[in-house]
Amino acid sequence: MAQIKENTRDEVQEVVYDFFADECEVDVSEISDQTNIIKDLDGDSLMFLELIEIFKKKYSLEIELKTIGKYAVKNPVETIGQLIDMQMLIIEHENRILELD
Amino acid sequence: MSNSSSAFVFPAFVRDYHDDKSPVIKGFSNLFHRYLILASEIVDRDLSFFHPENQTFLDHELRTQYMAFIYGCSISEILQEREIHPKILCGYSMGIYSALVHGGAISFENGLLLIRNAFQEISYTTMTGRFGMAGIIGLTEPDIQNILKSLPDVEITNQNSSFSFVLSGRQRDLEIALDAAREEGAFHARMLNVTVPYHSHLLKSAALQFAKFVYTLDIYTLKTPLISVLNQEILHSQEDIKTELVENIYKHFNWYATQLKMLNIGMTLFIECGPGKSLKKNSKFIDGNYQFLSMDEVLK
Repeated sequence: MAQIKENTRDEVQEVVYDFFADECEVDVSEISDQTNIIKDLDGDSLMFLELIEIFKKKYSLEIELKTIGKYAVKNPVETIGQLIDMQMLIIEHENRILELD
Repeated sequence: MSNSSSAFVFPAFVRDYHDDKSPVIKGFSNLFHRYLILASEIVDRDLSFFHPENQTFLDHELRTQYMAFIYGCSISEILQEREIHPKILCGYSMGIYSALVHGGAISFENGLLLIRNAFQEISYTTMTGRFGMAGIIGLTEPDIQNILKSLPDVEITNQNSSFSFVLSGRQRDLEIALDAAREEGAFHARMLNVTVPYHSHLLKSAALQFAKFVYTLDIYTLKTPLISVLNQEILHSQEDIKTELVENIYKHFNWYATQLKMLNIGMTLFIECGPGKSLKKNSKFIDGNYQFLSMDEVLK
């Protein structure tokens, strides 16, 4: 299980912002925690999965995609800020994330 | 541009022109328009009314195939004019037709006639029921097979990556499968905008009728080989192509295995010869040392 450090949220935020800026061809300054992933950035589920794969590698996470999928059904993500919050929970709890509900 | 390790990949359908940067490609618009007029004289007069801003055009299943084909052939010609040549060709599903035109195996006209005839035979076969296709992202193949155990008329007909699958079958059963997939934790489980179960065993009789038409056409040996998305064999001969055209209607394909095979035989550059970037986006989930470029990235 990855250790959450003081700067982990900043790291996650930077990766998420840079990722969507690159994928959606927008300037990173146009992205905020309130940005809606689908309406504002035309994001899709493949982008979401790509991001999860990036974090799985970065933090050596042991979590099945379907576990995240089940969590996301109950806790839908619409904004960049919500995505970062969910990613933090994934890093902290990995496959035990479903026990949070 | 080096041709020693590049693959041209041709998509099957047009999903969205909003993402398309083709008008910025020099010479594209004129050539595309010329092919459009030619196609409208051969198969469908309404094709001449096409405009990229008119997204309702995408609701017509057969026309989206014509458009992907016409687009692919236009791009193919521009690439040849600029002396960009592939080592291998590949057609994603019904993208086979434009790949075969590029390889010199069929003419533009016969490509259109093949698309029309296949669609007609498939329509006759499926007119007594409601069918379709669906995409599931986020589950593994065993997860999906487990869901399909009680749904014999739904099958996995393509794998795009280790966790992205396409299903074909009866619409009602597909909807049951999608509900179960969502419950199982799929990120994405939706019907595709088609009414035909492409690549399903349900189309075998349509394929046999289509074969009669295929064998009436002039089909030539490929100048550039084509990799089969059905079994990942490298095809050259007329007989190989005829068999592939027929089996492509009712047999499963595997895009993931096909791209891995192309990587294994040394391809390091993939060029998506269609509007949009759907195959390029999918390639992000396939590891390897390669580049995957959309048309505007190649020709800008």
